[in-house]
Amino acid sequence: MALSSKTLKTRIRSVRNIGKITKAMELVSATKMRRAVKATLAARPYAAAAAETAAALAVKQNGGAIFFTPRSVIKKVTVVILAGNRGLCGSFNTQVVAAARNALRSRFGSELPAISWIAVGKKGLALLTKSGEKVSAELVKADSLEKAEEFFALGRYLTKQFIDGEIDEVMLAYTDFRSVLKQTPKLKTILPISSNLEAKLPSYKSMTEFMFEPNKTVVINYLVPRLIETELYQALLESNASEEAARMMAMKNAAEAAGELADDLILTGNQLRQAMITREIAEIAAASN
Amino acid sequence: MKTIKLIIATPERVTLEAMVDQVTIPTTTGEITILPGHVPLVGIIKPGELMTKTNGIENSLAVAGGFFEINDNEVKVLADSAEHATELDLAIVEAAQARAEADLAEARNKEDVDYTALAANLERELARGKVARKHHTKHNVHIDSAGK
Repeated sequence: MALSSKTLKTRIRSVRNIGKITKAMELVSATKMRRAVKATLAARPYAAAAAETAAALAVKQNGGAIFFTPRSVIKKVTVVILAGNRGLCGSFNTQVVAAARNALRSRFGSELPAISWIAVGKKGLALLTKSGEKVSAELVKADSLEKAEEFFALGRYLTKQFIDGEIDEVMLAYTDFRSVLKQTPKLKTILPISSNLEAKLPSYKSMTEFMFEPNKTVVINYLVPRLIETELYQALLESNASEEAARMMAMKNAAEAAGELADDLILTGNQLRQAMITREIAEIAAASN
Repeated sequence: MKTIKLIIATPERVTLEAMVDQVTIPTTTGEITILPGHVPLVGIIKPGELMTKTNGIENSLAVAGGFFEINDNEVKVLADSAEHATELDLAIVEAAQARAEADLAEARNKEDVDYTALAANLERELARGKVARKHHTKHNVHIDSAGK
């Protein structure tokens, strides 16, 4: 009996220690999340304006430039997937990977094109490799905020591959930050640039053609990689904010669970002790009779 | 009088959102001044000074890299960086400029450096310097003449 109460004590202590660690991690995540959310919200107007320009060009360029026309046959698709570097954030990493694979399957059905994944973040790579997907490149990312410049090379590379016909479509899998409690994994096409914002922009339909400064080719060639970078950067910010929010919630739940478990164990310990006392008294009473 | 809606946004923040009478944007081929009712236009921005005019009051900003879109009396400037002249501290800007120059000079002797990035950096610092100096002289005129 004595041994079991000692084991209980050790368990209570270790559960409490875990609780302390998860609580600390929750606080760290909360701080990181606040910063990430601030950056995400600050960048949203820029990304939205860039998306509008892209849509406007798409509407006005239909049938023209290569960047705006969806290809009739899609054989090769590149998916850039943004996940975290570390775990302990609930189902954040698994969800973004699962959502991307599901979305691909529901879009292409059984005639899945050749998909090459570009994983940003260690966990994305690990999960994809485990499920047998072909990962063609991995981009190392820092844990927290990044500069937009880090995506310049990727944006240019994807655009070039797309022009050369090496890729028929570029997609981006990321987690959209809605609120601390809600993050939605998403998969969207970033190349060709779609005109799906058209509905929201009635003014673009009626307007006359764009003029370009210095000229159309130069502007389009400069703009398209730019727009891709902006999409990637914004998605990264959203993903970072989501990851920290998910981690904070996971750690909050873990800390609470640890607290409950410790309470349970204490209760069991007390019952055990009380049972021993009662038995001893009963023994003494029996002996004295 | 008709005005233009001007939005200057960077990935870090929205620097300016205001109604202005006219705006001058530095482009790769020079400068372009936009008045209300301009035709739809998309262009590339060169690092330099962006000037706005509202009720005769001029306001300048240092912008670097990016593009702009004019449509429906709305000008959207999407720049890599944009700062109000009032936000620029001349001393800090000059130090940054000197650093950028030094980096570039050093890069000439090396091979595996991103020369374009450094050159772009210097160009941006030069633009900031120009705006900062202009603002500085404009606002310190009294102090200088009183001191001499």
